Amino acid sequence: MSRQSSRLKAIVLCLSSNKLLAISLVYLLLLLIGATVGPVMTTRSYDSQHLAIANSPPTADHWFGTDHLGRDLLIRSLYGARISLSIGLFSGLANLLIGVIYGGFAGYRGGLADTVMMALVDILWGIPLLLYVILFMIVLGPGLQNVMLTLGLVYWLSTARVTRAQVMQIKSQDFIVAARLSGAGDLWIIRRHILPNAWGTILASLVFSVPAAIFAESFLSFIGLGVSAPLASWGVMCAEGVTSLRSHPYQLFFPAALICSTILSFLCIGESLGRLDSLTRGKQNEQTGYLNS
Amino acid sequence: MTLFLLKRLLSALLVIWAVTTVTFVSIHLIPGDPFADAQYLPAPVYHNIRQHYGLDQPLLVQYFRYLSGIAHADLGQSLRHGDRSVNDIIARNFPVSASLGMVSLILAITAGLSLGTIAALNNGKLLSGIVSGFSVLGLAVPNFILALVLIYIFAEKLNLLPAALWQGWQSAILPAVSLAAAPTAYIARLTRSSLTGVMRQNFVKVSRSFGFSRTRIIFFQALPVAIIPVLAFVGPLSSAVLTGSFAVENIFAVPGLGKYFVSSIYDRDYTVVAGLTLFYSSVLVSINLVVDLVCCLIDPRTRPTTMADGGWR
Repeated sequence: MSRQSSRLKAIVLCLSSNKLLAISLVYLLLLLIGATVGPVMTTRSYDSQHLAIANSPPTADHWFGTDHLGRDLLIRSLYGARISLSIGLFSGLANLLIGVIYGGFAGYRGGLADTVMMALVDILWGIPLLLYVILFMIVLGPGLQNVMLTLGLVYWLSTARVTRAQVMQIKSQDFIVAARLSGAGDLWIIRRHILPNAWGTILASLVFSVPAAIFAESFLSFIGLGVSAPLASWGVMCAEGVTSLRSHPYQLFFPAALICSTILSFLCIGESLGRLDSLTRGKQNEQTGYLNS
Repeated sequence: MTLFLLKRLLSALLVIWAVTTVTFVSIHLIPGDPFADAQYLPAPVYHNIRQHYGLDQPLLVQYFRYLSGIAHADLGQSLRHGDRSVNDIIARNFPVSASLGMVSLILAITAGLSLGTIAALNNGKLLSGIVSGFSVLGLAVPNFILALVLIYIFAEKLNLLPAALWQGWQSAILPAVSLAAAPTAYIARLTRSSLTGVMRQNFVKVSRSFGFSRTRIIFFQALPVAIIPVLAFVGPLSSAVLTGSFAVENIFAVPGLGKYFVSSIYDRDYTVVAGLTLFYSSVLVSINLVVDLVCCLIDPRTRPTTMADGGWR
C-alpha cells in the first residue's frame, strides 16, 4: 500500500514538474472520454441530415457548426475521434506485438537468423510504406477494418529495430549469463529478465507509432482510401471541408485542429518520456564515468 | 569496399525484385475483372481484349512476362487510357514532380540545417526553445493540412500567391513549403542534437584552446561532422517528400506524377498503380544507394570493415 502511494506521489511529482506532459495526457484523456461518452449523451447522430440548417457556422446549438448536409460537426468530430483513436491504438498495438516478437526473436537468437531477419527489415525500411499501404488498401477495398489491418501489419519496422537493439544489449549483460548458468531456460530468461528490462524503451516506441497510424489514416481518408462514406474520420472530414474552404473554413478547421493537436500531444508525451529516459541514463553514465576515472 | 558496393547493389536488385513480385501479386489479388464493365461487350471482343493484355495466359507466364518487361524498363500499359504506357506517363509527369521534389528537398535541408544550428548554438536560451517548439509543431501538422492552411492564408486572404496550377516559380512556393515543413522540422531536431553532441567533443575543446574563432570552429570543424546523421536522413526524407506529393500535388493541382498516381487509384487503373509503385520504389532504392555510398566515402566510421553490427546498412 505504501509502495503504491509512493509510486503515485512520484507520478504526481513528475507530472507537476513537466507541464507539457501533464497537458498532453489530460487532453488525450478528455478526447478519449469525449469519444466514448459524447455520442451517447446526445440524440443526434453522425449521419442524420438537416438540410434546413446546412452550412451553419458554429452556434450555441451546434458548437462546431454543421456541414453541407446539415450534419452536426461536433458529433461527427467525436465519432471521428472514436475512429481515429481506435485505429491509432489498434494498429499501434498490432505493430508493437509484431515488432516485439520479430525484433526480440532476432535479437535473442542472434547469428544467421538475426542477419537475415534484419536484412529484411532494412530492405523494407528503404521503401515508402505508405505506397504499400495504398496498394493493400486497393486490394482489400476501403473500410474501417481494412485500414486497421493494413496499418497494423505495415508499420512495425521501427519497433522491431528498437526491440532488437534493446534485447541484444540486455542479453550481453552478466546477470543473463548468471541466470543461464543457474539453469534457466530461454522462455524464463525472456519473461523474467529481458522483457521487464526492455519494456520501457519498447513502450516508448508505441507513443510514436500511434500518431503515425493516426496520420496515415487521415492521409488515406483524405485521398479517398480510408473509411467509407457516412462514417466520419477526421481525414474524411478534412477532405469534405476542402470543398467549402472558401465559404465555410470552419468545416476544415475543426477536424484539422483535432488531428494536429492529437498528434502533437502524442509527440509531446514521447518527447517528455525521452527526456526522462535520457535524464536517468545520464545519471547512469555519470556514475560509470566516475567509476572509470 | 568493392565487396560492400557489390553487396549493396545486390540488395538493391533484390528489393526491386521483391517489390515487383509484391505489386504483381497485389494486382492479381484485387477482386473483380479489370474490364468489369466489359460484360456488355460481345464475347469475342472481350476475349480479344484479354488476349491483348495477356490475361488469358497462366499466372506464371504472366509473371515472367511482367518481370522481363521490367528488365527491359517497360512498366506495361494503362488499362484505362487506351494505348498510353506507364513509361509515357512517367516521362510526361515525372519532371514536374522531380523539380517540385528537388525544391522541397533543398528547402528542407537548408532551412533545417540553419534552424538546427541556431538552436544548438543557443542551447537553453529562448531562441532554441522557439526552434524546438516549431519543430515539434512541424512534425505534428500533416502536409495536406498545412497545404490547405497555406492556401487559405496566402492565396485566399492575402492574395499573394497562386492557389493552384503550375505556372511560373510563384506557383511552386506553397506546395514546396507544405512538402518541406515536416522534413525541415525533423532535420532541425537532428542537426541540433548532433551538433550539441559534437560541440562537447574533445577536438572542439582543443581547437578552442588553440584560439580558433567560434564561427570557424562551428562552420569548418563541427558542422562537417555533425552533418553526417543529416545526410543519412536524405533517404527517408525523399520518401516523405514523395508520398507527401500525392496529397499536395492534388491540392495544388500540380500536374505531376503524384497527382496521376492518386487519380489512377480512383480510376482503378491497376497496372498504372503497380507500375508507379515500382517506379517510386526504384527511385528511392537508388537514392538510398547513393546516400549510403556518399556517407561511406566521407565518414570512415560507416565503412563496412568497422560495421561490426550486421553490416547491412
